[in-house]
Amino acid sequence: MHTIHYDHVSKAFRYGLRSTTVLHELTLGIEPGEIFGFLGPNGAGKSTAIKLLLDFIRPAGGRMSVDGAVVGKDPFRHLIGYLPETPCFYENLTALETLWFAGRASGMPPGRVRERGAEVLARVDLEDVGRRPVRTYSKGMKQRLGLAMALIHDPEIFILDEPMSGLDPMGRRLVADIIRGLGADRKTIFFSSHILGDVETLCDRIGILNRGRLLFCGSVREIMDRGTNLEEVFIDLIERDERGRCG
Amino acid sequence: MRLRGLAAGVVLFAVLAAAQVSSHLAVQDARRDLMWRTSSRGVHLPPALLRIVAGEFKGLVSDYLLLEVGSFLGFTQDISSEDWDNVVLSLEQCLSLDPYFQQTYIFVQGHIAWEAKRPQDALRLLDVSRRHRPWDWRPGYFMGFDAYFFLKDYAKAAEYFFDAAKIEGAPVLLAVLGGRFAAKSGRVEAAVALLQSMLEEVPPEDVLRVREIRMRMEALQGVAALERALCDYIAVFREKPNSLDDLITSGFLSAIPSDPYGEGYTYDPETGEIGF
Amino acid sequence: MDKIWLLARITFKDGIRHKALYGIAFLGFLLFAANILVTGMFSWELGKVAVDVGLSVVSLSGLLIIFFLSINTVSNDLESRTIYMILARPVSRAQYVVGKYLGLALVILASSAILGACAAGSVKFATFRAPGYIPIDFSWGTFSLALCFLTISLLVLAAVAFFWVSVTTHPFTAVLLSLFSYFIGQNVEAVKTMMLATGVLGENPLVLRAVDYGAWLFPNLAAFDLKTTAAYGLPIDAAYLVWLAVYGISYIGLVLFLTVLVFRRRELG
Repeated sequence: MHTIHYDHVSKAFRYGLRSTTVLHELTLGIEPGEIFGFLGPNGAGKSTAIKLLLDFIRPAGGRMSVDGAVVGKDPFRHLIGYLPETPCFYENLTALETLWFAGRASGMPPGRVRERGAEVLARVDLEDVGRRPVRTYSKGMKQRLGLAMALIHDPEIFILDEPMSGLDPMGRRLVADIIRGLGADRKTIFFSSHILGDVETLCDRIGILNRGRLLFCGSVREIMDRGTNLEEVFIDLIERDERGRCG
Repeated sequence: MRLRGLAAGVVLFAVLAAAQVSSHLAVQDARRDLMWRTSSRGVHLPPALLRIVAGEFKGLVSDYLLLEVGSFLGFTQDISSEDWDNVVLSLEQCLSLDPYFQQTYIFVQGHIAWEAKRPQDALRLLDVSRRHRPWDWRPGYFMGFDAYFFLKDYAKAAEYFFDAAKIEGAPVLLAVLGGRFAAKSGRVEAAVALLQSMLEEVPPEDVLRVREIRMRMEALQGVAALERALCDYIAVFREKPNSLDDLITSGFLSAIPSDPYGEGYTYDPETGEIGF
Repeated sequence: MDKIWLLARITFKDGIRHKALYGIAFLGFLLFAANILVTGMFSWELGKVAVDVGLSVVSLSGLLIIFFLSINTVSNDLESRTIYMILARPVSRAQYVVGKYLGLALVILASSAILGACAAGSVKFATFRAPGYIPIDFSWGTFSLALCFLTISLLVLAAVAFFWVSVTTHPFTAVLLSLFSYFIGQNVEAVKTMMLATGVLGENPLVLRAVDYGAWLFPNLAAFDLKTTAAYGLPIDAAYLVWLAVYGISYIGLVLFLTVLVFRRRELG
């Protein structure tokens, strides 16, 4: 059974009178314990796919499931840790207060939340600023706090939307290490990115999305067989797809 | 599972809706009486402050105040003296915000002069309109009427009529009134003419006002008749009679006209003045 | 429920630390000082004026909080996707709506309490110098009741504002609709009576019907205004107050119910 499963999921957005299809019958399955990278150019629909999974938006067709629970019908959010694309918080709260909320909302007992809160802050290198209000944080710090919120309740499944965005090389290294660590713990990680270098080294399998359609879904090795490096293959695939549309 | 949630939702909605409907009706009911007990009290700000608070919306606030006062008076049965105090204050505020509005002074005349029987307040309020509407003879006309009818102050009335008569388009009557009221003779006929013209202004549905004006006219006509008889008597006997009955005994009058107010006409043998 | 309370707490904490609140508090204190000045302009019934101004300041601050803080907070949640932080947890949309509202309500309650105390203080001070000018029947009990119901009216408006934010896409539209609701709420009773008393528009059955429906749909905010009663210490019927409270609370409940229904279907993309 797939841990995360997309079954012919479609989504369209309306702009004024016109309707644009953003996802065409996306079918995708992520195995338990694997690190899956979701790639695609900007506007390909990666964020949309992830938001659909979180039930923030509703699909026009198809259905999704997380660990057997049907999205939109069964409760599943206690199973996952989510990091949005640009995490935003209540600016006047401190990191510790925000993590307190996150932990308690996920059902952790108060003592445990305090423990884990400090632990997880240290892991994302924010322990010094834990008591400062979030409005004083830089973009990178906010990104790391978002990751901390995903980590605090120690879920089995992680859904991360562009986890490396806004981070400097040290930050990216930190996140990569955390993801690797989670992978070693046999957690399922589904993340989207357009920074190919990270994806190459971290993922077991990858999926490539362009204009709402899945162009490729397979192991990193498979894709490397097609060319010298991931970037080349990626660009090639996208270009061919574009030409196929217009030509 | 979901059905239970749905059922709970429906129950919650039903409870809330029932509470809302019943409380809405109860509150509405209670407010029907409550409302009018307190509603005559307006915002008692000094006019200067009210002007500041109203800012650029002075006209609007003035209109609103007028409507509010109007609906209060339209709805309330027993209007206490205190209520009238508040109404007068509201009208003052009204005028301080917009002294040019015609509706306001017509309202003042109808309600403050007649209904509330507060001619002094009415005069004060009408004066504001008069000063700000130099093209309009009506405020002065009303003021003259009030001074005469309610305060029996001929001199003041004459003054108001005179001023109003100067305005372009004013009816000739005003000049006549000004003259006659200032003098001693000819007042009664002038007053009757004034009342006649006022009768034309008053809407016929306002039965009370019409009745009062007619009564006064009748009384004045009675005075006029008595004065004519008196003049004839003096012309013949070269002295004033001792009482009104003398006019009958000497044959100048067939009967003393009945006073519509039921108190009879008064006669002062020294000055020769007939009143009621 | 726990999660609702959790959400209410962080909303309250975040709200109470908002810089705008300091501005509003400062305005409040300034106006109380002005209260003392203003009462000096009157030669009689200073107490009544002081109460009027005092309670009006509390009301005004509450309105400012609703229009500048509450609406902004919720629409910010939606626009900058802060709401993801909350809904990514096992928190339902219904819990979000109720918890969030509760938090905002707590901010309004805190503001009413603090400024209400200041209002009482300014009344005491303003009339301290002229104790003979307090209306005979004035009582602190009635004053507190007026403060309570003023706060309930603010909470009703806050719920309506929340509803509008959930329904619209731009915070500006939500502010406009909330202002609109406020004016209608304050005047629907007066308009209805004016129409009936003065006969203006009273002939047209359609307009009358529209005003009638308006009276049911929009909250009768004027009913919660007990300032005059407080100023003069007029007698109030206890039963009336109970009905009034039920009216307010059930209205809030219904509006939140509706908001949850709307919110459940809202796309948060």
